[in-house]
Amino acid sequence: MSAVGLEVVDPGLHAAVQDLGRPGLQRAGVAEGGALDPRALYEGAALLGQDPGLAALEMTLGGGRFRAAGAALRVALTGARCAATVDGRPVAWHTAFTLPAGAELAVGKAEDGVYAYLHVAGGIDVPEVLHARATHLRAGFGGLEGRELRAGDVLPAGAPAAGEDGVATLDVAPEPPIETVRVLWGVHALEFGEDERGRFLATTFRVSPKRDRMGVRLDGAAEPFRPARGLTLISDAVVLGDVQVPGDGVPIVLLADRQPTGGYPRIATVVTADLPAFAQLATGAAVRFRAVWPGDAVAALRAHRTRLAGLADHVRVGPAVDPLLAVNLIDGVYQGEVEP
Amino acid sequence: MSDAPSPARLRRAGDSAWLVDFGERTDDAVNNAAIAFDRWIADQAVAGIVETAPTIRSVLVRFDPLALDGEALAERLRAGLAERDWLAAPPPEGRRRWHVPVVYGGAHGPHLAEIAAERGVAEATLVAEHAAAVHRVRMVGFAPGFVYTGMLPDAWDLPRRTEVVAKVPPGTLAVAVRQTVLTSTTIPTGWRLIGRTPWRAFALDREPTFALAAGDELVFAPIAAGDYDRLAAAVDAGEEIVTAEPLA
Repeated sequence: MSAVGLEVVDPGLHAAVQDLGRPGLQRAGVAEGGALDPRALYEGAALLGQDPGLAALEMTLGGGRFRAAGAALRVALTGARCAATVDGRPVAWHTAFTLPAGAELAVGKAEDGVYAYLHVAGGIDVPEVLHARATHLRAGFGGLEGRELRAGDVLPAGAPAAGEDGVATLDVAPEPPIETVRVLWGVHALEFGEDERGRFLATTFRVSPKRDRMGVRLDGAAEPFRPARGLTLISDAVVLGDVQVPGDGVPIVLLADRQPTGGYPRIATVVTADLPAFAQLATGAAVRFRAVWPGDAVAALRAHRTRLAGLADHVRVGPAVDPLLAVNLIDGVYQGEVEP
Repeated sequence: MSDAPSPARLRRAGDSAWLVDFGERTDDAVNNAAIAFDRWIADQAVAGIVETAPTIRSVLVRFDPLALDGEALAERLRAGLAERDWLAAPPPEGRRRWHVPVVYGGAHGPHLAEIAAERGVAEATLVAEHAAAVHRVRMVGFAPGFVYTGMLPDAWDLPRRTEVVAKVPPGTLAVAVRQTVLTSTTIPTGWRLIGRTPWRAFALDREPTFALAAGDELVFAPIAAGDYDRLAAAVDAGEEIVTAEPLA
């Protein structure tokens, strides 16, 4: 293997290249796609001192083994927390460090979420397709050949921005898993009647195993949700976070790879600020919805973006000792920063 | 709600979008209204609008609520809705009529026979009806380059199938509820598969990548099954196998 870059030794369950997506093509039938937890892209970018728009590897439920092929590679690990090792020695999650040439990074199963991210300095340098590097799996374009990664793939890295060599950490903790998700009432909320809307907010749902990058089904309601009258809706555009109620009455929250139009009623729409945390909810996790006002949603989005924009100020780069020796210390910092 | 002369409705679609619709109808007037209002918004060049997308009878207006106040945007949209009778808008300028070769029935259109049986007519009759119709593109949606056209006569008000075909290839024509859809990527569908064209409405290696826009018209020209591979090879070689004429 003479190629230089991040070699996939074992891709794990599902791994694909994602970035912040390709907005602007809804009129062509293309939903924006991109990473399901964009927070992780901002964290990775902060840790590596680069642009959050660069592409990274999204690993569903973690897992996988990767090698620095041909040259040392600076990498960062974000998103759902996983146990990770470099050539058998543990490294801490939510850090950036240098993977020596030929060294193997092994990522374990996700422990507190679903989507884990592996970033490389300079970003994963696959060609842009329709102005983005995100993989559109259903249509088979973007990313690496429009598909999930396979063993033997080598992902090229772009030119790195900075020349750090130590272990970079963030001195702010990742946000804890979400339990109550804020929504605005959807375009068809009034079709459901007051009782059904009340029941929607009163129900403790469970994240169904029927979930993917298109959407997440929510089990747990005592009965299916039904509009007040039989509905034959004319298909309209569907937005990120819409809570769609198909014929079986089981709500589905639509995510980045959703179909961009749909004819099922949408009872609510998850506020933008809560979507990344929602997408990270483990299968089986309990979740409830709380209706808020548009102004609350915008305030939440402002706080969300402010946090992401400020991440770069929270990067600490450890001394240029053997980065792997710093692991225990970093873990301690991480634990101390977790909010109760 | 607005004071517009047309029964336009403005609904909030999450914290970052408005959905404007022109009524519970699927005729040319609401489609023209949606396309015209979409262009009106583009002409306003409002900072903070992320994108707009016209659909069968509505327009999605996505915006960044930190760059553009949602209520202020709603006021502008309401003012625009009141500016004219959008339901009287003409079809969009620059639209085209496309002549597209299609193999009907057989392996490329496996459900044509069952439609013929249900309606008690010959497959050739269905092909003649479908190829004689002008199919107006009402929206691009569902999947990249996936086109909804309509509306066909009542005899084509067919229900979707209860079984979904998991992998329908690009270029497939499928019908249901008086509409014809043209696929551009491999998709699952419960619509009835009646034919396939070697042409692609969406091709990444072609400019424009997305050939069709709402308001365009499609006319399908039946070809023999044996011609499919030859035309597909021509498409692969970069040849144009469709013609498009400007519509007034």
